[in-house]
Amino acid sequence: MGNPEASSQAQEAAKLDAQKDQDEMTMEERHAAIASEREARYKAFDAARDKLENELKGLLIFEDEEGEEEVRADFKLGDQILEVLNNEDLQGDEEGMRAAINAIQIPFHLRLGNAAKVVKVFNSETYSNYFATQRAYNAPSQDFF
Amino acid sequence: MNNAAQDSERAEEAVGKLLNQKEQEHEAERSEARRFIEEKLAGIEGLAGSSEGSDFISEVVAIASKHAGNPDKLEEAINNIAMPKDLDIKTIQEVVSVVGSDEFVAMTARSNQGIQN
Repeated sequence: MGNPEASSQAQEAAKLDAQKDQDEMTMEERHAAIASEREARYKAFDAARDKLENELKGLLIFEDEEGEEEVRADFKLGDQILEVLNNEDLQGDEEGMRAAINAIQIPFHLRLGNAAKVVKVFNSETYSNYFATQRAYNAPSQDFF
Repeated sequence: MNNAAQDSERAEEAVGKLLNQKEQEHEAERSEARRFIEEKLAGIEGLAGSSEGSDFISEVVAIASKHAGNPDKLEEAINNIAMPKDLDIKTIQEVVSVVGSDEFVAMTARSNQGIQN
């Protein structure tokens, strides 16, 4: 069995070393680290956005029992949602973005079965992950150091 | 009338009373299920107040009562109900959460028990 006191001292020493390393980082290295961290967060956000966009593509062009597109094939809910997601004025405003999406109206009599398909997207992990990665991307970089 | 005939008549009366009582209990359960669905849907702001919204609620209640004994048929019929025009995403989410809720299924099943019995 190891000596708990020695182990604790070793941990403390390692912590001090890590702190020392960080303290010794040059300003340039710190900037590079911040940029790299920011890029990683952007990549995660971009990937989440791509995934959501793929799920939204074609959403609300459903076929009826005869194989005909339902009522308003020209209305694409996915496009309406993407318009909100890509709205520059709403970037970083999760509440405003969610409210704008919730306010989108469907200009025809949507059947309940298709409504359930729409709701499935909004309850999906992809949708919540989009906002989570957006939040992380917009968080100040200092929080990570 | 002999004793056997009297006994038989009394038994029939008792059974009749019991059936009547059961039917009243089941009707109360069916009413409760209808009321539950109506209240939940009527509580959705985007649906309340419009005649289209009221028609939609009535249709959901009618379909739930009609197909309560057949879950597959119920699902198919519910899925085919057309919602009012121009509903927003928030309202649609609320409607789907009521119709797809465990409570809705449970209430419909309870209502059906009465029908089957």
